[in-house]
Amino acid sequence: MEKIDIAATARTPHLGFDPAAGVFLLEGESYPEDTKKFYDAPLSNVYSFLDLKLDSKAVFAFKLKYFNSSSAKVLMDLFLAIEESASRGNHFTIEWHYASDDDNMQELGEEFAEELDKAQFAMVVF
Amino acid sequence: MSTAHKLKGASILELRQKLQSRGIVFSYCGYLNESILSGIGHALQSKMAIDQTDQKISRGIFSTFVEQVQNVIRYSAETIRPEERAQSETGSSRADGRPTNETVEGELPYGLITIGETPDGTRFVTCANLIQNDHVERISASLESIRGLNRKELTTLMREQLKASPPEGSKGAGVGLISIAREANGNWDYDMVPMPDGEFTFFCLEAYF
Repeated sequence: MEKIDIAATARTPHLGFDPAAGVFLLEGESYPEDTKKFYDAPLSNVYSFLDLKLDSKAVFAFKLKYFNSSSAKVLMDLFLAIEESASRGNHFTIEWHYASDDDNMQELGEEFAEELDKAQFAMVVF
Repeated sequence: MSTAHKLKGASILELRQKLQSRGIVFSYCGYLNESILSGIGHALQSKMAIDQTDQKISRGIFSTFVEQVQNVIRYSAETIRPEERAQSETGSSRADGRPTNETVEGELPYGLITIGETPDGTRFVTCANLIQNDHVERISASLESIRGLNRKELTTLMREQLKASPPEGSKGAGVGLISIAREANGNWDYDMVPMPDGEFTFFCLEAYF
């Protein structure tokens, strides 16, 4: 499985995935013109990774400043898949990074955390 | 110089003054697409940066603007489609021998966007578009079901909806409306105005900051 590194644009985040190292990163703003078109291809690799891995470690870091509701749906689906994979014995951590003065991102992170049990959800203030 | 202009500048000034009297700072009415969203969105962010608008308020206004415009783009019942344009234009891309899918974008929805501030300092983001009459009941019911909910309740409801809603790409989720209500901390309103044609309704949604 190859590395993915998609540079950020005004409306799409930087998306990085290194399957060998077990590192995923989503950073910036996310309100793509076509959410499906932006996320489908890179995330299909992440979903394969989640399906195949056993007894592995990985960190999924989210450093988002803003995302729209259709991106929120993408995040929720991804978190549920990470949780499902973690429940099969993988050691996965989701890091939710937010600025200390960004109550909105904090609230959204806390809300997503409600869905996670086997996967660790770490709130990280910067 | 002749003063017999055909153009009546006064009537255009009147249009501008009408908008200004309502406190409208940004307005767009017409066919729109994602590029319009990007363009107005960036100008809106610049304006709020110059005004030194509180970060939380400007973030709320911007994300509401994005959700509202994307709602219009997805759900406006008043649209023009590429084949209609191709038929109505002479020398269309088809006549030039180019494949239509290279030059013609998808259908263009029609809608209205205004952003402004009332004399008491309340900022507003308004969007309006036509919907089919048979959608009025469903949209009204879904908006009535979230009326009066506070930010925390709306955040939780949004999570539940995200979990329950069909995969992205379908037109199902009501998450956009919940998100607008949440960003506005529950300060929003809507109205439905039946059009004389008996087929469409003018749906207006306004969020306050």
